[in-house]
Amino acid sequence: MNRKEFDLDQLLDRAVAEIHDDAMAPEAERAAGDRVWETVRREGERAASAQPRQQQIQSCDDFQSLIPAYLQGALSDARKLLFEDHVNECLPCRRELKAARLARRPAVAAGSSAGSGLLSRWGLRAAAAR
Amino acid sequence: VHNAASQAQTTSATAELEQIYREHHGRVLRAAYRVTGNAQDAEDVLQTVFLRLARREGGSPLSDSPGSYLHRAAINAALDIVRSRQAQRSTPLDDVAPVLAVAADEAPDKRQDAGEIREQVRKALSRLSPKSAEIFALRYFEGFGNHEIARMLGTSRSTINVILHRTRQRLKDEIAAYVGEGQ
Repeated sequence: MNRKEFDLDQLLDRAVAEIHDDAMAPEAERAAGDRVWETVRREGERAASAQPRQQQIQSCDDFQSLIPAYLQGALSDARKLLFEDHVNECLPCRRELKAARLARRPAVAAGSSAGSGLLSRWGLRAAAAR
Repeated sequence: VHNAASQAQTTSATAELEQIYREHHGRVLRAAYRVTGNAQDAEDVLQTVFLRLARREGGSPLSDSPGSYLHRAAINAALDIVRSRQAQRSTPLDDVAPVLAVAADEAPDKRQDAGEIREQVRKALSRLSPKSAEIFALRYFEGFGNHEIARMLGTSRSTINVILHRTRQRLKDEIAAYVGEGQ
C-alpha cells in the first residue's frame, strides 16, 4: 500500500469510527422517543380499530387473543366480564389462560424472545427490506 | 358487544405495539442518528419505522431476529432521508466517477478536517447503491460482523466481503477527491 492509500484508509477509518461513536444526548433521545410514541400509539389504535374482522369475538381463538390484555388489566369492565364468563365455561380457554399466566414471568425476563413472537404476529418484512 | 370487543382488541394491539416500541426504539433512533448525523432526521426515521409497524404494513412472517430486523429498517429509512436531502440540494451525480458537492479547491480550509470528512462519508454513502450503503453502515457504523450481516441479508459472507471492499474503495476515492489528492 502506498502512502496515499494508507492516508486515505486512515481518514476513512477515522471518519467511520467517529460516526460509530456519534450519539444524541440522552435527554434528547428520551424526548424524541416520547414524542414519537404518542404518534405511533394513535396510529396503532386507529389501525387496530379499522380492522373489522378483529373486532368481533366469535370463537375461542378470539377470546384467547384477549388473554394478554386481560393479564395486563387492559380490558374494559364489560369485556373482562365476558372474558371471565367464557373462560369459566370453556376448558381449552381456561388452559390457555393458565399457560399464559405461567409463561408471563419468564417471557418478560426473556425479553427478546417475547419480542420475536410479538413481531412475528405484527409482521414487518416490508419495513426492513425496503 | 362489538364495540366493546373492538375496544379490547385495540387495547391489546396497543399493548403489544408498546412492548415492541419499548424494547427496540432506542436502537432504531441511535442507528438513524449515526446514519443521518441529525437529531430531527433520526426522530423522523424512528416515526417512519414504527408507523409502518403500527399500520401493519408488510405482512410476511418475521425472521427470528426482530432487533436486527428493525435495525435494518432504521438504516434504510435513514439512508432514504440522506438521499432525499442530497437530491434536493444537488444536480444528479454521475454514477461512475466520484463526484463531490464541494471540490477541494473551493474549500481549502476543509482539507482533512475529520468532522467534514465524516459528513462527506455520510453523503457519499447515500449516493452508492442502497444495498452497498446498507451493508457498509451495518458493518462500520453499527459494528455487525460480516458473518452476521450475511445471515441478516440472506447472502454469503464472500459477497459481503466483496461489497465492503468495493464500497471502501469508492469512499476512499470520494475522500481523495474531497481533500484534493484524487485522480
